[in-house]
Amino acid sequence: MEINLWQETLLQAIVLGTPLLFVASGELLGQKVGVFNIGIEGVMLIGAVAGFIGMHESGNIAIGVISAALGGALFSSLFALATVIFRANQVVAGFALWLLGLGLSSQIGRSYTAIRASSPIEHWKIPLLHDIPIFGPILFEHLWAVYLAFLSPFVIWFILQRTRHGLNIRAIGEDPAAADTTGVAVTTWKFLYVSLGGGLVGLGGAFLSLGTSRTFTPFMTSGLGWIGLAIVMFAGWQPLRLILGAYLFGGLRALDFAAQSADWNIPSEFLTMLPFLGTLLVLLVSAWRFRNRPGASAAPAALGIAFFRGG
Amino acid sequence: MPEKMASSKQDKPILRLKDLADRNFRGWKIELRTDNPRRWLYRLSAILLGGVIALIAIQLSIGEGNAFERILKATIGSRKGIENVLELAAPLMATGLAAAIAIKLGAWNVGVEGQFFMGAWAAAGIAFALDGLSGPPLLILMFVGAIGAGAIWMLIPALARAYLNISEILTTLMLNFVAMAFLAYWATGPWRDPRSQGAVLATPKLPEQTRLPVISIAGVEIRFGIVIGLVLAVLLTAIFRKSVFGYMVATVGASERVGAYAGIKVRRLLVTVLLASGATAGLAGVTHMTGGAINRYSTSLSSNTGYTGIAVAVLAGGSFLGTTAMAVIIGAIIAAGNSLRILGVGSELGRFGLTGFILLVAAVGEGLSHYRLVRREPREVAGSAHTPLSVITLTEDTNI
Repeated sequence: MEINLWQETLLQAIVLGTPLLFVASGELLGQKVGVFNIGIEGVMLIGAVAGFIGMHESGNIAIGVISAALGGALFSSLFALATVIFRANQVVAGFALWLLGLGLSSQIGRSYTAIRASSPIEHWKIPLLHDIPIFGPILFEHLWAVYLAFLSPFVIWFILQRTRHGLNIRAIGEDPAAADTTGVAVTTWKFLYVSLGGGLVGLGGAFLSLGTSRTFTPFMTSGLGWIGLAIVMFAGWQPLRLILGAYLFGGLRALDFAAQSADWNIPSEFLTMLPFLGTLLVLLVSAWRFRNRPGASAAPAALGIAFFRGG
Repeated sequence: MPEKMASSKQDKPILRLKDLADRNFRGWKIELRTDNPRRWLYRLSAILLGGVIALIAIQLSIGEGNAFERILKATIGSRKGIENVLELAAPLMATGLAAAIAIKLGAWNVGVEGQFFMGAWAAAGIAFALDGLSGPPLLILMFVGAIGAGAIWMLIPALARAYLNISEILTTLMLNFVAMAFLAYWATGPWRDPRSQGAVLATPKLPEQTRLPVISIAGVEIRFGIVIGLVLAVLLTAIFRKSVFGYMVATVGASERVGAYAGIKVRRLLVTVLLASGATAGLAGVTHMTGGAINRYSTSLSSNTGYTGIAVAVLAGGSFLGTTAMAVIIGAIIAAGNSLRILGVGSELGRFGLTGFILLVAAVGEGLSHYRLVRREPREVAGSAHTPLSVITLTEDTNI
């Protein structure tokens, strides 16, 4: 089906928003248990390279995606070990994780950089729905990982808001000492959720190396992890709002594409700035709204604070 | 004390689940410590340990060739090695100092990279516009412009942090990406050197009179950036130790509430300190451009010096003089990584991987310094008059 420019731009907004959605979902899982990981850009790169190698060596996309998730989870558990078990400063450890991820992923992926993905993530037309005029081609003819990313905030929302386990998890992020008193295994769950979140972030990286670019290049995430961090704040720590945030920023990135197709006379460098300026603006506006209500922040109360049981 | 350890219960099983939950290991337990241990000692041993682990891992993974010998030759083992290390350390000193200024108030200027570029941009603009001037006045104008540009690039994050409580980590980082795109625009568009090709885009060389001198000490050539870094570190140490301003920063850095009670305008102080941090990063940019090897405004000007500078400042524990020393150590690590390129190790591994790994190990070391291992008071005796060591009662009471 032929589609026009604005349809193509909306389609690109969803595609470009998808890695952000994976990353923001993963970061949210960690932040809900009180761990602030600024190093997810590095985790994403590890996921991208692990996924690519897994796919290339096995020739199987499923193994690629699984190794991306495992790579991200293992790499994040390093961060969890440092911050949850050894109580390292989360900002310093996150920063270190980012640098380590940049260096390790480029080193590991050195011999894979010039290769095209032999079995990438495939497009998956949803039967019947993709025939809907106008919206069908925009919404229902995507890489299958796009649907997976769209579902993950719903799963997170259900677990956190509708199950007893989710209540315990949220309690860890708000008041770990109280959660500990009621018998919740605070340290264990913190560790597991940070690692699990890292798995999602790793998928975000693999979406780039196996889905859209279909090749691995060093530093290919180019700041997406950091935008994912801002989306978590933009969403007010609510899983379902992540979807809105991710596609909004995907839209800002898609403008670059639209401008090139439509021959707008704007230097492309200025369009590259847009998502980052947009993030800045969103942060300013949302903070301005809450400026006179100091306690109104929706962030988990114990975010960034290491827990240690006294006595 | 040793005989008391020996007399602990011998009949207990090695580890019981219940004991694990109580953090009770054969009569010992881990506790939060409330005193101030020698943190730098933990940090230093962590850095050394991290370096040794990384070196062993690299040697094992490349198998053939002696990595250690190569590293020694590329760093402190030869005159050329020393020059190379100092050349890499020169920009790290200034960017490290920029990050360290913010750390004094517990703030994170992750935007050093962007401010570095904006400083270099302003200086290059001044140099191209006024290239008829002689060296010293032009250089002074360039430095003033760079310092101003660095501070202006910090203005929004500083105000947002002070008055809207927005994390400066995110805002400064977002502006880095904006600065990178801005740089690419000028280097590819208005200022482009028609002869530059390929991935690295650059302006023509700066006017010859703006070049900072290279100093030779005992046959070793040293970039002028080292001199600027050292002078700046001494100056900053004096300001932060001896002036009223420094005292206010120390007070607020220790406790914002105490500072506010003492009548210090905390927000204004925070803005001032963050702007000073941005200004220093701008200074780093112009120093590196006029004193380094590149001598033009280019997309490869920084090689992520801004980010590495933050690691340098953190590893130095936020101390200014320590930052200059740590810049040399990290410079040596980067040089070591570069020297392994021929053995199949990418330069990114040295620049990012090793620095990141050592920073992570150091963060763990710092985290561990908050714990201590103490003899557990037997439950039966708790509260009785026979409490053996006063230390234990003290920590039991003061636990968080």
